[in-house]
Amino acid sequence: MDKGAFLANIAARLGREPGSAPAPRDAIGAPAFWADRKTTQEERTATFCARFQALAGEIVQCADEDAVRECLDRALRDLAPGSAGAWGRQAPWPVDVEDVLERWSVRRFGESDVLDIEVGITGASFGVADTGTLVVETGGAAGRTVHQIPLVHLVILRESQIVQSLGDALAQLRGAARDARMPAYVHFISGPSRSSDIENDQTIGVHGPARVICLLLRDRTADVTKTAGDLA
Amino acid sequence: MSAQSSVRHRANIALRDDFLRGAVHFTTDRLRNRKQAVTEDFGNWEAWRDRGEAIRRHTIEHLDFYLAQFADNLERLGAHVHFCANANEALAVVTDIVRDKAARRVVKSKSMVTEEVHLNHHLEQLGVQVIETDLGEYIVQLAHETPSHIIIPAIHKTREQIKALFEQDGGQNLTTETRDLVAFARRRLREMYLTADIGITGCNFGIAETGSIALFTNEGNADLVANLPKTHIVFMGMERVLPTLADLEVFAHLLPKSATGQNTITYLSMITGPRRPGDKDGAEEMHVIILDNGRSRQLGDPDFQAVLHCIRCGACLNVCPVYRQIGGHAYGSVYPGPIGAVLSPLLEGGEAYQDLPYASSLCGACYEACPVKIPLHDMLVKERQRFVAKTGGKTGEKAAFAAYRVTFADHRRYLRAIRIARRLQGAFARDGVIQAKIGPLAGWTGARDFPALGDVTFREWWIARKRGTKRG
Repeated sequence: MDKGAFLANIAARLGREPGSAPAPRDAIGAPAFWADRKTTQEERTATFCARFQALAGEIVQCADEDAVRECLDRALRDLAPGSAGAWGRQAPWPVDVEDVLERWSVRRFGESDVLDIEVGITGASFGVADTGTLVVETGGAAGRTVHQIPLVHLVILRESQIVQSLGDALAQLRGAARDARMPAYVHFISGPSRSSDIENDQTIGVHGPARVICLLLRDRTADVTKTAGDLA
Repeated sequence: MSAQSSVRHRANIALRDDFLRGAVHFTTDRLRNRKQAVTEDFGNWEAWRDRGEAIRRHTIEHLDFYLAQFADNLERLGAHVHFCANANEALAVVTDIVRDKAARRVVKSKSMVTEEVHLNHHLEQLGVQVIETDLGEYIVQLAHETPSHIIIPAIHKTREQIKALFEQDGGQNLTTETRDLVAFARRRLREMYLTADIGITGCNFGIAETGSIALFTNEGNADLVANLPKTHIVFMGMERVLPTLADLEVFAHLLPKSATGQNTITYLSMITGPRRPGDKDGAEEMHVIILDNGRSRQLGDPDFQAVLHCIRCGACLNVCPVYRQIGGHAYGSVYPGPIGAVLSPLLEGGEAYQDLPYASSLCGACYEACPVKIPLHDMLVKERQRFVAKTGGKTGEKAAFAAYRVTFADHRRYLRAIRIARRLQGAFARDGVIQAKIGPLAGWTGARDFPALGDVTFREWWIARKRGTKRG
């Protein structure tokens, strides 16, 4: 059916002038009691860690950037994967881990095939405290398959990237959308892949990763109180 | 309507299936209890419901505007948007894409809209292999069945049955351990994603201001379906739009909490158009099929427009005393439970599913559970009213109510009727109840006892008591 006729039918049934803008509304997004909460970075980080771990996500705390590299190195040694892949060099890495990736001959997205990797290494754009969620923006060298394919997903996140609410993260994505910079694929990840489809018996690692390990850099410098409004 | 196709007949079959009833009870109890716990922990649940309802109401009231904005944004990003009035139009669009791509294999993630248009059957007729990748849907597909619950499709299958199905699909040395079965499905389906020509997903919400498709899954299958094949087709009901990304936060709380009692969904995927220049993975071509199929008929109808507010969480199924007894298949429609009983006859518009609104006790638990406060119990009554007004009702029923009116309008006639009935019931009443399945009573006594009339009516007792008092 023609788009115009389809929309005209809807407008006619609603008794509206086709395409006319709606009157301004009061109720947009989360209620004020939720959106206007004031929290410190310390509170946000604590909530994020508790929520993410409650969803069977794993967190490795790192005091500085060297610690992040050491933890990644140790993780790759312990996991000893047959093959590992990572975002390309140009991707927005929260911490420079190039030397570790080189040492372990990790395949780089854009240069080698990653469709059979067992471990995938990426950065993230945000952590969301309320839901224990990692927000991974993809595009260019930050390939989407790097974290969808493997059984283990290693994610690098800075504490200062942790926001309170989904709304806070969405507000930043919305800003990017306005500048036409919002990526074609944004993934909100809350723990490992799971299913209860067989007799309600919960199991992990169905199609996505069975382990999500967040290497968290504790880079908090000052306690800045932020709200959704400040971020938008 | 033949007896075989009636909800009463199908319910009778379901009621004799002890495993099904046990599984449905267990699952719905579990989902309901988890929802209770997570919403109490979250707090202010009523305020969130009010907000959800307000956003959905506003969106549907201005649907032409938001749908146009959504489609314009998608087209600007290079996606193809197809507006389809009915199932046939949607299937014709799919046929064109399949032929254009010379597609042999299609992978799918869960979508109730594709069930609504019977997409799998259509694809198979085109000679295309279709593979469902949601674990529950995959099991149901191997068994050549349809989903029995919109959130947990294989609620009715045992692990032994699942093992047997997986063995038929090539599984070797499987046990009935969940981990073993899931590992087989992961391996098997991974081959499918990597060799499929087209991936088909549903759409939980379309975001008008950005043209984004928001998908909610726990398994991660939708991401592989949408990103690995070269072509991605999205199926969405035309009502599934939200104005802004900010609104998505509200539904990212309401949907998983209501559906499974999870605080958050494991994967929320936001797909905004096909891959961009410079992207090295993701679908190269994206088609979004926006389906009417009876939905627009509800717009402007004061009784039923709100049915389009539904976000398909399934919470009304889990609390419904009828669904809990008979499960999803007995409804005989794509959408089961209270929402199915309301929606199916509305979308169909004809004679089909007219008995579904009667498969309800009208207790209102569905309304209490609904995260966007759709008055499903009112709608069920209004559908019954419209059905009776259209068909004139049953002759026997009309005669019974005419007799009822005459008898109860006059106390002498009422007393006489009671005396006659008391004499007649003697042959059927045992221990104060009537169990005989005869005449007009059979509809009631088929499932429960009918209380027999007492030896003394209240009026008789009252008169006797007053006389006694005077004497005393």
